[in-house]
Amino acid sequence: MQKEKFKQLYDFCQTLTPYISRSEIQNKLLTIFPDSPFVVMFDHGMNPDSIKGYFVASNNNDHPFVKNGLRNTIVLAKGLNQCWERFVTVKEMMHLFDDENELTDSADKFSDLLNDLEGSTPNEGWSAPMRAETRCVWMTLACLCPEKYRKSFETARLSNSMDDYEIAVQLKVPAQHVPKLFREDFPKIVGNLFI
Amino acid sequence: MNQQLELAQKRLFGDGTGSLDTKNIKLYPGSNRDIVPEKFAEEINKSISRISAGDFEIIDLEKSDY
Repeated sequence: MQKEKFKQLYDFCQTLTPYISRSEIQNKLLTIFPDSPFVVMFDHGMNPDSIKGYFVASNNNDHPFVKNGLRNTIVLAKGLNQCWERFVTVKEMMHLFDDENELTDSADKFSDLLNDLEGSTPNEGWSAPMRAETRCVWMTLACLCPEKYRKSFETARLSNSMDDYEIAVQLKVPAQHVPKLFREDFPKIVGNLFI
Repeated sequence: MNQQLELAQKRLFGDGTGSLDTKNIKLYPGSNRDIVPEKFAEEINKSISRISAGDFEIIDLEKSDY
């Protein structure tokens, strides 16, 4: 991944107060990647039980899928709650940081990615694009929960004055991702994103 | 090879003007944990068709409060 560029976004997010909106992250990304603007859209027909959202970077500017001349597209299923919609949007934005070997840029890599997503491959055998998928979840958490707030939530959680659901509500992130913030190795995982 | 996967590969990575000539694609799976690659491919195919046909809604993040 492009660690130096992600550090710029991470440092910016540390200055924000949760909850952090998608537009705050989008605007910063446009300064980090001025040549990679993107369009975000709903596909009303996509089944969110199958796919919550996806990111496509296309080289074919003339294809009718490409809107407003913007080759980077984030497509969201309709019907996600606000927490999920925001989380999926930001996670897909994080793929701007994918480096060359993490790109799903061939038919074979696409097939490998779908097999990895199905869960049929042991984690240690994941393809580089699949490793980028999971890394982008950590990147999203690191951006949506600045470290000083994470530490504060951690203290409140340890003293039982807040539970995961209350933290999810404050951060406006899906509750299922909240426990990841308090894993013992969270600081190390996040540190590896830019060091 | 499954037809849906083959079709998706062609539309994403094939030669010619009908291909998106994809540089990168990533996706966030839904809550159905039993989904297979062919179903992912089918959803992507349908989505590309709908969006290419104009069936989509742009989201202006500046006007969204979340």
